[in-house]
Amino acid sequence: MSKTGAVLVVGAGIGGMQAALDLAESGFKVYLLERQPSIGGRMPQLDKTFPTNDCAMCTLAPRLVDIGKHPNIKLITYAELEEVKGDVGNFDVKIKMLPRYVDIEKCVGCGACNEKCPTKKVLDTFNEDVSTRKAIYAMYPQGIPLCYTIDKENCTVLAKGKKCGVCKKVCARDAIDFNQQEKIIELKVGSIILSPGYDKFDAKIRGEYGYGRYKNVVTSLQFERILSSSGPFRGHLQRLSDGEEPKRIAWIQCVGSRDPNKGNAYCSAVCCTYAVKQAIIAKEHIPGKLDATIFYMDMRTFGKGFEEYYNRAKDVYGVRFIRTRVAEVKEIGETKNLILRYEIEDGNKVKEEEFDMVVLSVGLIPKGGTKELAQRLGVGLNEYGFCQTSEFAPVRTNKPGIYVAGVFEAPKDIPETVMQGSAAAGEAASLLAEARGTLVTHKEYPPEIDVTGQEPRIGVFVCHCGINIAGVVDVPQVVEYVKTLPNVIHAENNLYTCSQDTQKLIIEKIKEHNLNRVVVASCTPKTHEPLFRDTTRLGGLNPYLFEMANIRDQCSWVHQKMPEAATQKAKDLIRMAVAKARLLEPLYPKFLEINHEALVIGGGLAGMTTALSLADQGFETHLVEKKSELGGMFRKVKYLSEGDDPSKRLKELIEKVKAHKNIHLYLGTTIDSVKGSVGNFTTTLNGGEKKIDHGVIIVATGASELRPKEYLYGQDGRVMTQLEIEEHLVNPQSQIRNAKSIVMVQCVGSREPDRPYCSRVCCQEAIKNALKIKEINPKTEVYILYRDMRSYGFKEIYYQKAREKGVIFIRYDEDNKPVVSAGDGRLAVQVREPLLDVMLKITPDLIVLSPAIVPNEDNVELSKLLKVPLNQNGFFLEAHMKLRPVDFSTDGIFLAGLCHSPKSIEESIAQAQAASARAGAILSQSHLTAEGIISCVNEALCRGCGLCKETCVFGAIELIERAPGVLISNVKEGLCKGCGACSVVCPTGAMSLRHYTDDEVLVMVESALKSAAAEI
Amino acid sequence: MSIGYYPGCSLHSSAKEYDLSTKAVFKSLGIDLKELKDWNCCGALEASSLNPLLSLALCARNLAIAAKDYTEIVIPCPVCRVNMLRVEDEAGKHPQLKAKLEHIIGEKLQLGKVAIKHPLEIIINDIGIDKIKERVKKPLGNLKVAAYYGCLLIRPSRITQFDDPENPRSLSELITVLGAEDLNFPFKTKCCGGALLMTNEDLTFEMTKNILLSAKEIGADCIVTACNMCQMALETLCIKAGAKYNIKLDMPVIYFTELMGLAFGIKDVKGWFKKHLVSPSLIYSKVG
Repeated sequence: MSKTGAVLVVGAGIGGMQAALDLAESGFKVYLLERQPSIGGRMPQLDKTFPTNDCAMCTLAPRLVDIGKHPNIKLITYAELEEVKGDVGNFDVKIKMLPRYVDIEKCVGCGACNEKCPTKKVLDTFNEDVSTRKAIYAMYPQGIPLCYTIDKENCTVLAKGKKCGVCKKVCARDAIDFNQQEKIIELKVGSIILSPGYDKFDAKIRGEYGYGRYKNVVTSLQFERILSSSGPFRGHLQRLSDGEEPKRIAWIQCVGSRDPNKGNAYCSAVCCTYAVKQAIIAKEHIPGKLDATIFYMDMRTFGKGFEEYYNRAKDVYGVRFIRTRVAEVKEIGETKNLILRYEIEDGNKVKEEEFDMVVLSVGLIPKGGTKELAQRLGVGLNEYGFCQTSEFAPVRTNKPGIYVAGVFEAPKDIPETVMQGSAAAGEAASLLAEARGTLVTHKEYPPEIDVTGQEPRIGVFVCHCGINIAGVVDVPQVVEYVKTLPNVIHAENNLYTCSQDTQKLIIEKIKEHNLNRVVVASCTPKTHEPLFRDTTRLGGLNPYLFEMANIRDQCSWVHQKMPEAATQKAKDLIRMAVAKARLLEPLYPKFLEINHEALVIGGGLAGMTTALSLADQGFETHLVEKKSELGGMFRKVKYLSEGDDPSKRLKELIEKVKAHKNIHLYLGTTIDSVKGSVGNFTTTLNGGEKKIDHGVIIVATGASELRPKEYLYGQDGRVMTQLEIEEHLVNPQSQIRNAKSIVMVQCVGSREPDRPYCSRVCCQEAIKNALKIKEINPKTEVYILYRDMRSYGFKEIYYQKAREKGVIFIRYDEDNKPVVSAGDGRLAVQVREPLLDVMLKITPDLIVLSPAIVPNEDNVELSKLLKVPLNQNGFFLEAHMKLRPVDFSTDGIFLAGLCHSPKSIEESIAQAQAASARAGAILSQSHLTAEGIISCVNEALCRGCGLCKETCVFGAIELIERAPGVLISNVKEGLCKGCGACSVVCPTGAMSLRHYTDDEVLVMVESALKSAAAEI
Repeated sequence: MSIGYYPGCSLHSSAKEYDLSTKAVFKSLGIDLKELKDWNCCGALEASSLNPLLSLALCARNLAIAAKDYTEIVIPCPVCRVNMLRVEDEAGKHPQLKAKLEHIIGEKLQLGKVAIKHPLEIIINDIGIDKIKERVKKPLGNLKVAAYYGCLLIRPSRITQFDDPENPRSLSELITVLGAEDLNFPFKTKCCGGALLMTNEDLTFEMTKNILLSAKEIGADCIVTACNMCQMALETLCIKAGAKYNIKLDMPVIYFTELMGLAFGIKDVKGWFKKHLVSPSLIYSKVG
C-alpha cells in the first residue's frame, strides 16, 4: 500500500511550527493542529530570549506569518486530536473542532467586537492571570489566524443565557455565530509529529513560598508578562500589590524541580538561564536602582554562550548569586514586602532578608492532557509523563511513524526544541520519501499582461478595517482626494480590503478598468502584502506592480485623538504610494536549476546520521572524512547510563553508511576548495584529484577532548581523562577493581578566563563513570570535585542515584582549585570543603580529569573555505541562536554535532537529523526561486572596490574580473535577500535594490514634501 | 455517638477554657466526649528529650487504656497528640520496641486500633464544613481573624497527616464558614517559641513578638489557634515581650472552639472568655 504524503503536527508551538515549515518546504502537505485559538505556543509569552536578549516576539512574528501564508500548511486551530486509526504511512485521524462562535472564514480580526463586549473581569491566561480580558478575545495581537474567539464560560449569552449579543450587532462581517457546535473532521496522514509543549509547575504546591497568598510573589512566566512591552503594564516593571517599581527582586530557583518530595525529581534545564536573563532585563528596566538576587542550588548555564551570559550578569550587571535553598517566604503585612529566610554556606547563621518582589523559577511539566493523548495513540511515556525515546533515536516514539519534538520529549530550551522540530520533520520526510510531492497544491495563475510602454493606470483600495481606520480617518474623504491624483483610474473604500470577497472585487476592477498598478491603503505589509501581491497576480499583473500604504499602524492607531490630522496624513501616505506605483516595474524572480546532491563534511556520529537521513530521503550524498575511519569522538564512548550499547550502534551505522546506495564515501579525504552558492556548489577534494557538484553542504566536523596541562596529567600515569578511564571501565583490571579511592576533577579547562564556556556533558559523564566504578566495586570511594553539578534534564536522576550509592560530591571555587601532588609515591588531592570550611586531603589511587571539549583547529581553515563564521571560542556560529540553530546565515550550508558546541549523543543526533531536514527542504525543490526584490549592479558605474562584498552578511556578492585587471561586483541572485545594505554603502551609486531604487524612493520623498510645502 | 477524650494535663489546668469549649462545641454537634479512665501525662516535651523510652511508655499506657473502650480518641493538645502518634509510628516500625513497651506497661498494644485525632481534624474531615455552616446562628460579621497553626498541629507532617505543613488552610476554612474575615497571616506556621521559654527567654520573646506584631500589622482583632501551648506562650508573654521591645503587643488569642461557640450562640462563651489574660471582650462588641 502506498504511503500518504501528508503529516499531522500536533501542537503549534515553536517546535511544531518548525516541523511544519520544514515538511511543507520539502513537498509534504502539513496539517498543523493547535488546541489554542492561535498558534505560537509559549514563545509569544516571553519578553526577551537568552543569551542574546533578542525580543521573542520580534524573532517569532515573521515565522508566524510564514506559517500562515504557506500554501502547503493547513492550520487547524482551537481543535483537539480525537482519534487515530491505521498504521505507519497511512493513519486515519479524527479531529474535534471546538466552537469559536466566530466564523473563521468571515472574521478579519478587526477587534470591534472586543471593544464593545461588556464582560470585563475574565482572567487573561495569555498574561498568566496578571491582567484581565473580555469574553471575546484574540490571544495576542500578532496571533495567527487573525480571528477572534468567544470563551463560552464567560460570555453573557453563552454562559448566562442572557440577551446581549453586542458583538453580533457590531460585527460588520456577520461573523458571530452563537449556534456553532463541535464538529469532527477526518484526515488521512502518513505520519504524526507530537509537539504539545509544556505546562508550568503549580507553585502553590510549594506553600512555603506563598504563591497565591502574597501578591508580590509571582511565577517566572508572570514576570515575563510583567517585563514585556506588549504585556499588561506595557513593559513598566512593577509590583502587583501596589504598582510600585520594585527596588529589590529575588529569584528562587528549582521551584518544583530537583525536588522528589513535593515536585519533580528531574531538572527543568531552562530555569537557571531564564532567571539570569530576567535579572539582566529587570536591571535594564530600572538602571542603577535595582538589586537583583538569584537564589540557586547549582547554576546550570550549560548551553552555547550561556556561561558567558552568566558571567556578564555577575560582572557587568552586578546580579547577586547566592547558593542556597530558600526555606520560606513571609509577607510583611503593611508594606507587602517579603522576607526570605535562608542559610548560606560559609557561616552558620540563618539569614533573613527583605525584598520587594519574589520571582519563583517554576519548572516545566508535561502539558495537561498529554497522558490521555499518548494513551490514545499507544505512545509510551517515561515515569515523569514525558515521551519515552531512546538515546539513539531522540525524536522517535515507540510507535512507528509517530515522532516527538520539544519539551514533550524532555525539558529543553528554544533552539533544542527547534532542532527537534526539524529532526522530527527529517524522520517523517525519510519515512514518506516515496510520497513526497503527491499532495501539495500548485496554484494556477492567469497569463501575465504585458504592461511595457503603458501609461500607469492605478487602482487604489482604501480599507476601513472596521472601525480601526475609519473610526479615526475620514475614509470617504480620503477616497475622494485619491481620485484627483494623476494616473488614478479607480479608487474606492472597502470595509475590509483583506476579506475574501474584496480579493475577487480587486481582480474584477483590474479587468474592468484595465488597471496596471494596484495600491492598497490599509494595515502593515508585514502581514498583508503577500496576500495583495497574490491577488494582483491573480488579476493578471506582475505581483511587483503592487504598492501598499500603512494607514492603520502608522496613522489611525497612533493619532487616535487627532482625526483631522490623521485624515490628512492618510492622504499623504497614499499620495506617496501612488507616486511610487507610477514607477513600479515588473520583476521576475530567477528560477535556479539546482543540483540535488549533498556534501557532508565529517564522518562522526553527526555526519553519518545526517548522511543516512539524506540518503533515506532519496538524495545522493557525498560523505567526506579526513581520517581513514568513520566514527569520530563516538568511537571513544563505550557505554551509556541508559544502557544502550554505543559500540554496537557505531558498527551498525558504519555498515549502513557503507551499504547505502545513495552514499558516496570519501575516507582520508580533505577539502581543497568550495565554489558556488546554494543549489550549485562545486567542491574539490584531495588536492584536486576529485570534483563534486552538489546543492547543499552540512558541516559536521566534530570536536575533541582537551589534553589537560594541569593536575599532573601527562606526568603521572595514574592521572587520566574521563574518556581514558571509560576505556578501562569496560573491561576493568586490578587497577580499577582494587582502587580504594578515586577522585574526579570537573571543569578542567572549562569555565576559565581563557576558555569561558561550559563543556556541558562532563558532569553527566563523570556521574556515569562514577556509578560504573561503584558497580564494579561498591567499596571504592569516589569523590567528584565540582563547581556546579550540571546534570540537566533527566540526567539529574543519575546525580541523585550517585549520591545514594555513596559518591561524595565536594564543591570547589574557581579561585580555590584542588591541588594535586605526588610526593612520596602516593597521589594526594587537597581541596577546601566549603560547608565545613576545612581543607580535606584525599589520597586516591587514581585521579580522573573532566577536560573541556575543544573545537578542531582546522575549523578556522574550513570557515574561510565556506565563508561561514566561528564564534569567539572557535565553534561554528549558526544564523540565529534561537530559531535557526542548524543553519548558517549563508543559504544552503548547515551544521550539526560537536562542531556547533559541546553536546550529548542524543543532542548530536537530533541536530544531525535537523540539518538533514533543512537541507532536504532545499534539495527536494525542482528549482529554487530567488527573491524578486534583490540588488543589481550598474556595471558602468561600478569601480570594483568591494565595499558591497564586505557589507553583505549573506555572502551574496562576489567580485568578478570582467576584463583583465577590471573587477566588478556581481550579485549571486540565489543568495541575495534584498536587504539593501550594499546599495547604501556603494560610493558610486552602481548598486541598487530593485523595487526600492533611488528614483522610486526619492519620488516618495518629493511627494511627501509637496504637502508640507503646500501647508507652509 | 461517643468518642474517647484525652484532655492531657493542661486542659485540666491552664487551658480550662479549651477543655470547656471543646466539650460544649462537640456536644452541640451531637458528639459525646468521654474522658479516658485513669489516663496519665503524655510526658510532654520534657520526657521525650530526656528519656525517649519513658515518653513512649507513658503514651503507650494511654493508648492501651483507650483501646479497651474506643476506636477513636480526640486529643485537643497537639503535643499530647504527636506523642501518642509517635508510639504508633515507632512501635509499628520496630517490633522489638513494641515488645519492650508492652513489657513496661504490662499490657498488649493494639496498634492501629484507635484513631488518634485532633478536634479540628474531626471537624474538618469527619463532620465536614457544610455541617458546621448549618449550625451557625450568629455569623461573626465584622471580626477580622488571624489563623495561627504553630508547629505540632501539622508537623511533622508524616506523623500528623493533617493539612498542608507549609500552607495549612483548615482553620481558615472554619473561620470563613463562621462568617468572620480570615486574614492572610504570614506568620501562621511560625513557631511561638514556647518550648524555649525556660532555656532562652530572649529568643522566645523575639519569636512571640514577631507573631503578635504581624497580626497587628494585618489588622487582626484576634488570633485564633488550635494549640494550648501556643495560646499560653502568646498570651502570657505579650506583656513581657512588649515591655522588652517597648511596644504594645496585647492581642486576644482564643481557641477555634471558642470562636465556634460564639458563632453557634453557646451561652457559656462569656465564662470561657473570663479565663483569658488578655481579655477578648472586644470581640463581643465587634460581633454584637
